[in-house]
Amino acid sequence: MLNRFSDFNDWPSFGFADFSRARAPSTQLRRELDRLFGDWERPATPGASALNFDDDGTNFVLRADVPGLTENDLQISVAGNTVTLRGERKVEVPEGHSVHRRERSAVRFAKSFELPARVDADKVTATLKHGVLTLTLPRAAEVQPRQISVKAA
Amino acid sequence: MSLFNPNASKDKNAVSPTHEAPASATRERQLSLPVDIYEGADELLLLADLPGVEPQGLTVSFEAPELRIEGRRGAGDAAGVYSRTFRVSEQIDPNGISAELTAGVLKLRLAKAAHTKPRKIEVRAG
Repeated sequence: MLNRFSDFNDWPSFGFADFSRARAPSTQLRRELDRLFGDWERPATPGASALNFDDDGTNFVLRADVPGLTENDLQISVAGNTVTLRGERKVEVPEGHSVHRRERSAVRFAKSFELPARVDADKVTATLKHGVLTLTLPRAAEVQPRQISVKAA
Repeated sequence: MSLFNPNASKDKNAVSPTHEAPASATRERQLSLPVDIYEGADELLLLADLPGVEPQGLTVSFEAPELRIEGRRGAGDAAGVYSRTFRVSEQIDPNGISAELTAGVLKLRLAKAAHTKPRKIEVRAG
């Protein structure tokens, strides 16, 4: 079964995968984390939805947060009324560095979404800006809303 | 001291001094801001995910020992504020901080103050 767009939370978390534990670590771990960086403000909405869907009648517009991914890390395919996004983000410790805090997740995902109508796959555009992927998917011509004019009898 | 946002003073929304009420006091939606922190011999390296934030919407400030990151994400459904404040106990060279925003990820390098760097002591023959 494919995901419907109503399920906005079905997008991989790019961070705080281990949030509940990070928030209440053991005393020893806490001391370790606080050795260099003590953090006294926790974000209010861990795992907030990062997927957004709009329908302006002509196009479906899908926006997804993909921080740290470049064009080469993303694969998008469209068939009929199904769009599939694949991507991967690796999180590596820089050479010669030790880890003090790790909240950003390595992510690998393959998500398929069923659109409310067929789209014109040739006219789909994808842009990636400031870590946000925007997919514009025009409805197929035969499913474009048609204006029917009423003639006086 | 604003490191990343030279136009901050012109934008009344972009500056939030560290001692002012945090953004959560307003109605703006708080967005999740995960960070990685690494330590090298000469620097602390902080990576933070701020998808949707443009360079002019990001303010990074350091006033020892406080490091504050605040990013504003535009209008619409995704609008909101990313903000976190850290206390940095390591001695940092205030002039040795650099920030770079790529693909929605902030890379912040904080150079350790010279006197805290590991020093190699030469042993001379007596």
